[in-house]
Amino acid sequence: MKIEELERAVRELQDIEEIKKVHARYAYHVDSQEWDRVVELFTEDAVADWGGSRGRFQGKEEIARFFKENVPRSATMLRHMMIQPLIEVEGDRAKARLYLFSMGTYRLPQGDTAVWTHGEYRNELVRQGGQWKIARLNFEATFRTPYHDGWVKTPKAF
Amino acid sequence: MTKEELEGAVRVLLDIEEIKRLHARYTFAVDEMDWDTVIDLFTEDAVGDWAYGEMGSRGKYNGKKEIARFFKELVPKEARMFRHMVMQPDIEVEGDEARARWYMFGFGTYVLPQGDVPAWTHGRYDNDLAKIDGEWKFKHLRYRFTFQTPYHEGWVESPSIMPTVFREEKG
Repeated sequence: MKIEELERAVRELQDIEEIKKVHARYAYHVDSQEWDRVVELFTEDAVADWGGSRGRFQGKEEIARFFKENVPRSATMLRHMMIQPLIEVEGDRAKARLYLFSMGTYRLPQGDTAVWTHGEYRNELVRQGGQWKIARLNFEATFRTPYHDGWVKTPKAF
Repeated sequence: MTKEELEGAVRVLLDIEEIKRLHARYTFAVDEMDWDTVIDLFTEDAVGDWAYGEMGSRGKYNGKKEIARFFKELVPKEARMFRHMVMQPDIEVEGDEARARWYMFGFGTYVLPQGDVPAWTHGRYDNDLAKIDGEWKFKHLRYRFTFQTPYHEGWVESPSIMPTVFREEKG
């Protein structure tokens, strides 16, 4: 390996590791309701699409509103587990595909309800000022099912 | 560290990352039922051993052609939907060969004689990989079930379901 190749390999490994950390931090901060820290993970003009009933939000301000107003209204507890990151880096841009498996307590019309969620993120990240940020978040739920129902009976509780 | 040692260390880290990505691509493609992508991840002479454990055997398939039959003809009849999540990789690289151990936790809606049944699945992979023309591929996939249990039952009451297609396959 030439020194340039060695450098490139180390840089790629560092980038992949950094992008894994962005997603881990996203999960920890969301679950701890540290909204300012969550919002800092996005670019100014980021677009976040949580699909279906959750909706699409454009720009950091709208994304902040989603986290600070919508999320606390709909859930009292959340735990996000980010699984099997598939990260591909191209210079200052990257794509990240991950599964989410999570649990939460949601305020549904029938009362506080324990819910399992599974879904997939297909995100795009950019490097800005040496830091990886989320430019596009795309989430698609496989199911959001009440603990006692399962995804055949109730695939999407909301 | 000499330059050679540094190179060796970086190469192993890259290989480990590539092997993690191979397993991620595999599970995403299986879940999308994108069979050509899945089959491309195996070597020509690969062995797919889904009968590695005592429970829930789905059979053992020798060579890419048999593995293709397993995925294209049998697996789509097994379930309406499934999602595989692989975690906690333990990867050992030795030159152009490697071993990878993972836990799998997943779920699906399986086609059983009594109807469509949602089930949780857990198991373990003990895979052998080979690097061919610079790409890591599955050379020997071994999967062992811990349980595959209906959503409302649990692994004590019902540790292993058997989808209709594999009951028929076994005769």
